[in-house]
Parts: sequence; structure tokens; C-alpha cells
Amino acid sequence: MTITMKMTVGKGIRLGVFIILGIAIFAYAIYIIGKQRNLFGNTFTVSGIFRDVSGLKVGSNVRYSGINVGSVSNVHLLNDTLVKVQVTLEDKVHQFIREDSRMEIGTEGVMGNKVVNITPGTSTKPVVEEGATLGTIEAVKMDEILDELKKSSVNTTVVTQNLAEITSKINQGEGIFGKLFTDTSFTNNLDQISRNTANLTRNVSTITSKINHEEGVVGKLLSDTTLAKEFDQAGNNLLESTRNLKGFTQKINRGEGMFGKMFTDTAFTRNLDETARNLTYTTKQARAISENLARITRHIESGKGVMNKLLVDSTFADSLDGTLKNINKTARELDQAAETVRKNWFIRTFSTKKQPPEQQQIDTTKNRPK
Amino acid sequence: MKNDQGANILSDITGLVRFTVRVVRSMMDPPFENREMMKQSYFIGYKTLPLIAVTAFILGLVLTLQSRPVLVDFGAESLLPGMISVSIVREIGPVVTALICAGKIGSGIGAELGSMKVTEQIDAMEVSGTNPMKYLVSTRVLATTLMLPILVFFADAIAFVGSYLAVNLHGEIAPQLFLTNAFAPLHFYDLIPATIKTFIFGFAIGVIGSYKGYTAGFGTEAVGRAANSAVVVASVAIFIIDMLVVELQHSMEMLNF
Repeated sequence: MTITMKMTVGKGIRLGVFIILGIAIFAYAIYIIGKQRNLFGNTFTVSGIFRDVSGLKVGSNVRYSGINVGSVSNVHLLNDTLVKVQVTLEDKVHQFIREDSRMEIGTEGVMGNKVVNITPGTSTKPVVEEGATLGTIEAVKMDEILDELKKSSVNTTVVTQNLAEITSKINQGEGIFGKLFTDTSFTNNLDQISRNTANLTRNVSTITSKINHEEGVVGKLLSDTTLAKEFDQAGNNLLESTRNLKGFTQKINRGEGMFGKMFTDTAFTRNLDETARNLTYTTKQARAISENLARITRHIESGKGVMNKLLVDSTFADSLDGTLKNINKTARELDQAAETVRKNWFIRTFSTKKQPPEQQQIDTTKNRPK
Repeated sequence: MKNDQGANILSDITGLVRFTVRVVRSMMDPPFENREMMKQSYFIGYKTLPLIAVTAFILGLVLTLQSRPVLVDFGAESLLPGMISVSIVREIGPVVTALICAGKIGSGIGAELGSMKVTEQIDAMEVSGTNPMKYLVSTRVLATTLMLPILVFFADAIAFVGSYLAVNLHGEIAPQLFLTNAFAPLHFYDLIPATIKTFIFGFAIGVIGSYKGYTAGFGTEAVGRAANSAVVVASVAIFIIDMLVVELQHSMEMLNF
């Protein structure tokens, strides 16, 4: 590095390469950073209005569906409560940002940088225009979460206090649970109950095992195939009966047969009605007759009247018998006498002349009832 | 102007400011010593690159390895490239490069100009009608001012390579993903102030080296003293400038720059 050293062409070229390379590195860095911040290429801007931007800065990333699509280009206060956030987005996502897309301030990881998330909108809505204002979703702030946590911790304290009181009561034997844990008689009862239950279940188990081994009626019922067959047969018969019954009722419905008539033919039923009414009348009469009969028999029984004499009085009967015998005897004698008379020729001639008027008499008596 | 060994800091600062004004004024006035400037640039820029490259590579590698356990504890290993890139671009690249240049270039300029002063070559130049301020000092200051940023760009790039290798020691990561992760947290307000800063560093190194050499005392030991104090003052100046620039940068970030 002396003043006499000569600057050759080769050294000049090396110096030039050195400088160009150095500047190229710088230019590359500028390009990469600029690409990330959307300084190059076509961009469009949209904005959103927030109450709180939680430390969002110019240059913070903007994400659409989790992909970096741009950066925050401006953050400024609109008035005392509202902050306007303007973001610059790559033109290639313009077609996806709809009018109902929303802006939301999120965080990279738990403690990372703030980012703006843009949610996809409905595909039917039109694409936003340059400089449009999107709706926003207010982020849940950390201090709000802490506030909620504080409330829940207070609640937790109350709950644990109550629990402590309850457990102390249980320890002292108050209430059902206290009884459960401390009262020996209560637990003895419980023990007894459980023992009974055990017995019961054992019995049930024995029964069921017997059933399984085809013992007893229920066992037969469940396992005997013959019985089952019989039951089957019975069922079949029943089925047939019901089928017949069905056919029968169908016939009835169709108005076939007497029953059918009974249920369907109105004329028949009217007649039947009349018949029934007559029957009623007849039975009434029959009742009156039977009542009279009863009265008569009562009279007879009590020994009043001729009939009674006839039936009950043995003396009368004997005498009647004697009388009848006598009548009989008399009649026979009379008969003999009449025979004798008939055999007399005089009377025989007389009697044949008298015969035709006798026959006429008979005929008139025959016709009289009609 | 001429300070002896026991000169106090305040008069040193006054002399430096007055020297700086002279340098700037001579830089503005034509004619320009382009050929000498190119020669100085070649030495200051191209010849320093290997040193810067080795330093930056090791720096990127070591910084990554040292930062990794902390991030692993937080479960944020994926943020490692981003963290390293921010550290390198914002602070470590410019400052370390500037410090190395202060050691190599600042001391070189101080010693060269100091020996020329001691051997009265500068006086002879003035007599022969050449403006030593223009020919010797302005070219060197301009060369350091322009070359240091380019050295820092190289240093950043090479440190990224070292960092990438260090990240790959513990797990496979594609260069593309590394670059994406590394550039993800970088903003223009990281890169631009850092670059502006490097110009100031280069200017400071050139001015301080030249001043120390130009104002060297008498005798051979004055050359050594000039070189030594050039490095010390330039290094301190780099830190002070860095602090001021970072403060400025932060206050501008507050205003959403």
C-alpha cells in the first residue's frame, strides 16, 4: 500500500467485479424484502376500521386463508375510538376478496407479531373495489381473557368453599350422605338390603338355571320341543279358526246366509223386529197363562174345587171309580139292550130309513168351525 | 494542528473536526484524483475481502450455534434464521466489519501517511504543486466511505452462509426455507439505516486514519503511535456512531418510519 504501487487493468477489473457483486447482494436483499412488503408488482388497497389494533404496525403481514398476501400500509386514528387500518394486497388475491370478507387482527403464534387476517367472503358477492372498506371482527384482547379468568377463579373459590362445607357436614354425619358415611345402623341396613338382594339374585339365578335345564313348567315352556310343537299346532288351529272366522265374517259382510241377512238386509231385520215383537207378546201371554196355571195348581193343592177332588181326594176317587165302573156296567148293559133291539126286524127297517138325516147332521157339525 | 504526545482529548477532537471540514471541502473541489481513488479502493475493498469473508463466516456460524440453545428452550428453533439475520444485518455485520477495517485499513492509512509525514514526503508534495490533502487524504477517505458498505454486504451474505451451515448441523433445512425464514423479519428499516451507518463508519475510519497519519509527530516512533491511535480512536468512534445511529433509528421507528 505504497504510493508508488501501480493500478493495472487486472486490478481494475477485480475491483469492478467486487463492487458489482457487493451492490448485487444489496439489490437482492432489497428485492427480497420489497417482495415481502409488496413494493413491486401490482397491488390494491382495502381498509378496515377497528376499535383496537393491539399494536399492529405498518408493514405487519396480511393473511388470507393463512397465506401472506400483503402488508399493512397505514394505521391511523380516525377519531377518539376508531382506528383505520389500510392494507396493501397483491393483485392476484383481488378476485378472492368479496364484499362480505372480514378483517381481523390476529397474532402469529402465542406471542408473535400482530397480523391482519382477511376471511373469505361468499362467492356470490361481488369482488371488492380498490380502496373499499371491509367489515371487521374485533379481536379478543388478552386483558379481557384475564378478566374472565379472574371471574372464574372467584367462582371456583366459592365452589370449593361449598364443597368444603359439604364434606365437613358429611364428616359430622349430617344429611343422607353423612348417614351413609358415618351412621353404622344405616350402613347395617344397607348391608342387610344388599345381602337380601344377593339372595334374591341367587334365587333368580337358580330358577333361571332350572329353566335352562328344562325343569318346571316354565322350563318345559321354554325348552320342550313337543310342547312347543303343540303350542305351534294350537297356534295353527287358532290361525285356521281365525281364518274361517274371517271368511265367515266376510260372508256376513257380503250379506250371504242368515247371519248375512241379519246384518245386511234391512227388510229382513224389519221382519225380524216384528217377529221379536210378536214373540214378546206371546211370551207375555204365556206368562199370563202360566200364572193362571200356577193359581189353579195352588187351588188344587189347597183342596179346593172339583179338580182337586179329582186329583187329591182318594175317597172321591174311589167313589168316582165305583161310579165310573157302574156307568161302564150300565153302559155295557145298555149296549147289550141296544143290540138286542137292533136285531129286532121292525126296528132294523125303521132305522135304515132314518140314516141319511143322521149323516147330514154330521157334515154340518164338521163344517161349523170353518 | 500539531499535537504532541501529551495533547489532551479535547484539542484532538477540535483538530479532527477541522481536519474533517478540510477533507470534505477538498473532496468537493475538482479536479478529482480518480486513478488514485481507484487504487485505494482496490486495496481497501478488494484486498480486505478475504479477511472480512473469514470473519463473517465464522461470526455467522458461531452466533447461530450460541443462540440456538436459548431458542430451543423456548421451543422457537424455527425463528433461529430470522433472529440471526436481524442480528447480522442490523448490528453485527456493519460493526464487526467496521472494526476489522479500522484495524486493517485505519492502521494502514495512519502508518502510511504518518511515515510520509515523518519523512517529509507530504511537504515535498506540497512544494511540487500537488495538493496532498486532495491526493492523499480525500482519495483514501472516499475509498473507505464507498468500500465499507460493499464489504458489509459481502460480510452479511457470507455470515448467512455460515449461519445456514450451523443450522444444518442440527437438522436439515433447505436453503430456500432458510432464506425465507431469514428474510421474514427483515424490513427496510432494518436494512437501510444499517447501510447508511456503514457509510459513516467508512468515512470515520478514513478520516481518523488520515488525521492521525497527517498529524504524526517527529521521529520513527511517531509512525507507530499514529497507526496505534488511528485504530483505537476509529474503533471508539465506530461504537459511538453506532449508538447514535441506533438511537436515531429507534426514534424513527417510534414515529412509524
